[in-house]
Amino acid sequence: MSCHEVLDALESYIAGDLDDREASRVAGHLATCPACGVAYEETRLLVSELKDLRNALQPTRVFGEVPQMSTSVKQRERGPRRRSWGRAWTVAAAALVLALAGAVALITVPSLARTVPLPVGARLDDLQRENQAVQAQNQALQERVTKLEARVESLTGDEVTVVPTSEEDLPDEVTMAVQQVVIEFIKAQYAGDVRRLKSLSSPALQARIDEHPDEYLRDDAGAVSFAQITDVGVSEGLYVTFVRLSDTKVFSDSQYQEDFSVKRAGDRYLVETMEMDA
Amino acid sequence: MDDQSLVQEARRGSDRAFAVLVRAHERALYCTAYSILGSSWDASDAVQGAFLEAYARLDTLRDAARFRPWLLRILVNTCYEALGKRRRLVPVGEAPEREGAALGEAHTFIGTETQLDLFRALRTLDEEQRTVLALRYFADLRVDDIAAALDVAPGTVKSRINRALARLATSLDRSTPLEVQE
Repeated sequence: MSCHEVLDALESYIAGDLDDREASRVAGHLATCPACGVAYEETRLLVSELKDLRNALQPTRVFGEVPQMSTSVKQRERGPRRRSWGRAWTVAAAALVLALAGAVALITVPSLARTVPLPVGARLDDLQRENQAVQAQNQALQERVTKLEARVESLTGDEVTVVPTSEEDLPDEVTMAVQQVVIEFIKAQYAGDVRRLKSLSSPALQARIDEHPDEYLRDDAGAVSFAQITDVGVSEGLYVTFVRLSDTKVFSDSQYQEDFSVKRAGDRYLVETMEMDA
Repeated sequence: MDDQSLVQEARRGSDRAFAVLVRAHERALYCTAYSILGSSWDASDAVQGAFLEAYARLDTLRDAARFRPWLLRILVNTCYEALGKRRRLVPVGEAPEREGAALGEAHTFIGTETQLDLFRALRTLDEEQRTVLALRYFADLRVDDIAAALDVAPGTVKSRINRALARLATSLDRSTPLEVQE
């Protein structure tokens, strides 16, 4: 094997892509040719440095919101949507506040995109154009949001940071009741307690839990820890709040978000929908 | 859990499984997109777009175990579309972004000085060379998979990698014994 051939094959040799016969021919040459031996060492070093370089870049944007974003596509394909956010503004504001407050960099676009009805198979360009428009709206919102401050409250015994989302005032007891039912719901998720979960749910959600229990149960995820909950907004007669949380197993080094809508039923508040944001 | 099982779960409707896939691959995708596009925000958009498309087209992936090469192929196309658009819009070429400046970038550089040098050297390569190196070392693809993603022959990929490594060594002021005579 000539030096030229060996140098040509070095990269594949280092990657382990050569078959045994070729590899032993390269190895044989390297053992007897000092110049190629040096080339081998240098290439190996450069390759390993390149591989490590990946870890030197830390993307600040969170891409995990993607699935949630396309949920609306999926729901449309499956049939009528379970709900539509009429007052996108409240929801958008809540999502934005969470994104800002949660030490997560700017990822508000995907959260917001959920409020834009996506045509099935929408072309990505269209989507990007929509996103740009939404991004502009975000900036306006952001300014408003920075004026608002978070506070810490104790809900059902758990310390949770409450993030205000809008200036409209619901009575405190409504806000508290909605937040409490949501916190209890999450606790039941982590306890794997289907009965408790259903007792906090509207009949529609009860049916859905029966159908897809694994979407709601988190008993394989360890202990839950609450990070933040938004103030309660109102959208089409439903109360809306978002919770950011983590746990000790599945989301131990990152947070995720659960988006709730809650319905008033007589003197009780019941969870109508829960959707997971990554 | 491996990609294969996660893809299967995601196909059955588990957004959680897809979220885990996103987490597992986002960095490789981001670094690859950034290498190709040279702009952190464009890279961010491309990654977002690629995940979205992968999600929508998950049913068309024949072999669930081959999720990553498939995903990277989508990403490369997304990047090329972005490049095409940019060329139509901005005829003045690529405006280099300053690396390391955390503010205004879609990533933070958390590496060493040596890594920063390498990072800069990488950016002096031409687009074709940056792309093969990124797919090879950031995305850990096999030569055959890179060839498929770029729609070129495997031999072309190999020689591009060799030339790119040689260029890289030169711009790092290292000796370049790997340089293959044309």
